[in-house]
Amino acid sequence: MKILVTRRLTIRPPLEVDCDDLAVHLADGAVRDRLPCAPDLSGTADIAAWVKDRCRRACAGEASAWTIHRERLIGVATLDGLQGEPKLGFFLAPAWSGRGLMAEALDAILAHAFETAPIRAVRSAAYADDPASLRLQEKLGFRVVGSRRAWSATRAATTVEFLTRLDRDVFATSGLARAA
Amino acid sequence: MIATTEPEEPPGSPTPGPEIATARLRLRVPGEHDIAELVRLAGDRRIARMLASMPHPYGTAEARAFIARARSGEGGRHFAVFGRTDGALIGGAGLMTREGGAELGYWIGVPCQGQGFATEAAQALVDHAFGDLGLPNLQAYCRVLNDASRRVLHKCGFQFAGTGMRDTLLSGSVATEHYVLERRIWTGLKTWTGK
Repeated sequence: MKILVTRRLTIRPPLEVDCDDLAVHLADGAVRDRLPCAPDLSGTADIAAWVKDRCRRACAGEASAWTIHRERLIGVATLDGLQGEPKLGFFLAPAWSGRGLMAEALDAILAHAFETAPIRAVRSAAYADDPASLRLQEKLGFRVVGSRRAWSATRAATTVEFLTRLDRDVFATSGLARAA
Repeated sequence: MIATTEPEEPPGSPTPGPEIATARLRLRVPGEHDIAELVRLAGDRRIARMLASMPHPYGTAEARAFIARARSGEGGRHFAVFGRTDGALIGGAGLMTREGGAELGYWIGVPCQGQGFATEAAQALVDHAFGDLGLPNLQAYCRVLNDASRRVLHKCGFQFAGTGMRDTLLSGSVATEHYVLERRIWTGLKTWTGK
């Protein structure tokens, strides 16, 4: 168990006590609309099962998950496939956007991942109509490596998404702390 | 990983408490031979400035009083913090008995600050409080201007519970932040063993 502390945030694994906050955020259309792969979590029971599954996968070294707190839970980040080239997913509650909080959180999470796991690169994605997510990823050192049309369950539509990738070496020199 | 053992009784210690060992630290009841170092480290005004109950000036009498409290267990469990390999005194930490739980406190001598010792000692005491003592919750306070202490509490899983004023021995009434760590949060965090 590791708790990451940044200048403004506390970042820790999701717990059962977070289920209510997670349910509120995941019921927000503005959040779900931006998630390329939102899990099908329609209530606190589903979310509790998700937390439990996340814990199991983290203990097995397969994945990690983090809840992001600024006194209360404001976002989530996940890394799936830690034994290969993991995929980063994340969301921030809209009320907290525009303040650099997600960049601060992801910088700490990626630094921790590169430090503790033999990862050469991290993959992610952003919808073509979500330039804020793409800007955030580029700020952290991600580069667009392709695009595709993919079915979005949350939008119930086919959507264009950019595929992105962050190399360990690039992050080491262009992550927020290094760039500052 | 924390090991809690009953140590050999140090000279002159009638009621030695448990000893808690972490990767780099050893928390134990201090003895008479620790007085000089206690006075040197705890006597620094910068330490007393951030703590509610640290007297200043801090001399031999204050060190003896601390040792007596630690030995008797009066008011809670009080430890001196030592380096595990060199045995050098680094600071102090304790769990003060409060209604329905305990209050966590800690300090690290100025020459040893900035190396994560406070976090390591605090996490060990948190585990001791919930794991060995079975407490239902822990409280903690830090001055609003004490960023380092706030980070320690966050790293232990404490959650912000409010701000207020608190009386201190050196600085009078000061603005503080109040933090709480519930047993269920600690239990949840302990189940996560992955990275």
